[in-house]
Amino acid sequence: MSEVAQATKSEGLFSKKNRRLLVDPLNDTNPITVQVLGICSALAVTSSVMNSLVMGIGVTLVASLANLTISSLRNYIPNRIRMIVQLVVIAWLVTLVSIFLQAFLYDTYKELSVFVGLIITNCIVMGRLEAYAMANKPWPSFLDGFGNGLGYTVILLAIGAIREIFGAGKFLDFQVIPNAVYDLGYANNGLMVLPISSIILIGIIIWIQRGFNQKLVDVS
Amino acid sequence: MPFNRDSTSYILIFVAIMVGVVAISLAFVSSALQPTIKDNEVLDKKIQILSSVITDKEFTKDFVNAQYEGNIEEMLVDKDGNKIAVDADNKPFDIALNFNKEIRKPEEERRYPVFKYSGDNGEYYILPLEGQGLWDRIWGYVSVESDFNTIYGSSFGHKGETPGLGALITEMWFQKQFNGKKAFDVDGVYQLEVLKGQGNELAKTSTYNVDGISGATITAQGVDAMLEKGFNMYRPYFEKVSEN
Repeated sequence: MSEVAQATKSEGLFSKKNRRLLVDPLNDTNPITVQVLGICSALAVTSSVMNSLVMGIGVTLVASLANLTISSLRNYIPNRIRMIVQLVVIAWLVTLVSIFLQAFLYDTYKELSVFVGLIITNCIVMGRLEAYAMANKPWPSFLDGFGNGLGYTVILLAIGAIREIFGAGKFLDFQVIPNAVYDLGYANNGLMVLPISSIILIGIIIWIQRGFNQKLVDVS
Repeated sequence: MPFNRDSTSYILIFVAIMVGVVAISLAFVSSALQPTIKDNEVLDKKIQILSSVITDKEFTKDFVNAQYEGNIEEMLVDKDGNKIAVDADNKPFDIALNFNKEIRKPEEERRYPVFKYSGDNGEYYILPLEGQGLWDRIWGYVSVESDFNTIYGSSFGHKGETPGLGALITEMWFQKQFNGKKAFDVDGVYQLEVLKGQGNELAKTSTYNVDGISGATITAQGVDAMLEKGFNMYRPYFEKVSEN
């Protein structure tokens, strides 16, 4: 691996290649719609925009830091137990963050406590560790984790916004559908409150994305 | 590379070092921050107790401590409603902090905390509640007027209910519904009920019914069961106090 390191040594921090690491996951290699990772939490926590945002920030933070840690250790991690090492690092990071939140931002911790477990088990984090961080240098790995976290956040926010607007008539807790519309007989869509609506929405998002992005079509 | 990464001894050494680093760092951080975390928990509990009677104030640390010290009288009762003396081993606040453990003891050994609030908002009895939601514990405080029947206010908490669904029990609109509702009817039969779903006509007309939460029926039923259990636990105490 040291040969690779030498070849890329002169690269800038935000070279074209490194920028691609950040931008690609937003569309071409989106973790949810293309890699189909992290679907479970996309179904569970997207009932409002705030929840989506919090979960997105959490995953972005953990994915980039875990990528950084694992990538720094990649030449020392025994291949046969690499999965276990990855899991330990993820759990360690998440637990550390959780303890700090408990001590210094108790209100945020109370809101987040349920998300903590979901971040540990998020497949994006482990998927990127295995697919990228184990074979690349720390800085690109950090960017890859960050980019994938962003790509995940974007989709979560889109689903969260649709579900909150049509399920509760609100956006970030502000009422956006005026009472006059309710008086005319409009009602909130109960289906949007349930996790099942996310899977329909994800399907629609994938459909639209493939309609615009020719790279994703006919890959087989 | 000077060492063989696939040899068993290397793996064992790697694991030992990894576990050591992780364990020591977590243990260090955790114990270093334990006092701060404990303070946060105590403050949070006081806020929960107070927010069942005070809803229109911002809970700063000073405000909470002043209100709690000045306006709350802590009491303890047993299962038959007799008062237990408050001393170093029987601190109502500490029991409330671990009410989930207290409630698992045999009935005879249980001590039920009662917090009597007398301040600007009136005089109310605040009772701790403990129950089970969909995923984990739920808890709460309910304040009743001196008829031991009319609910003045409530505050609920949960450990792991689904965000956006069961977690909505901590929202003001859900808790507000209980204000003014009655637990027992004129014959002394427990009647308070959390209904299934939202927008029930009955919740608007009846003094015993409140709306549940659409998509979170099990959590709402958990609140229902928790209230029923709580009111029945304190019933002997209510009767004792009313007699005098």
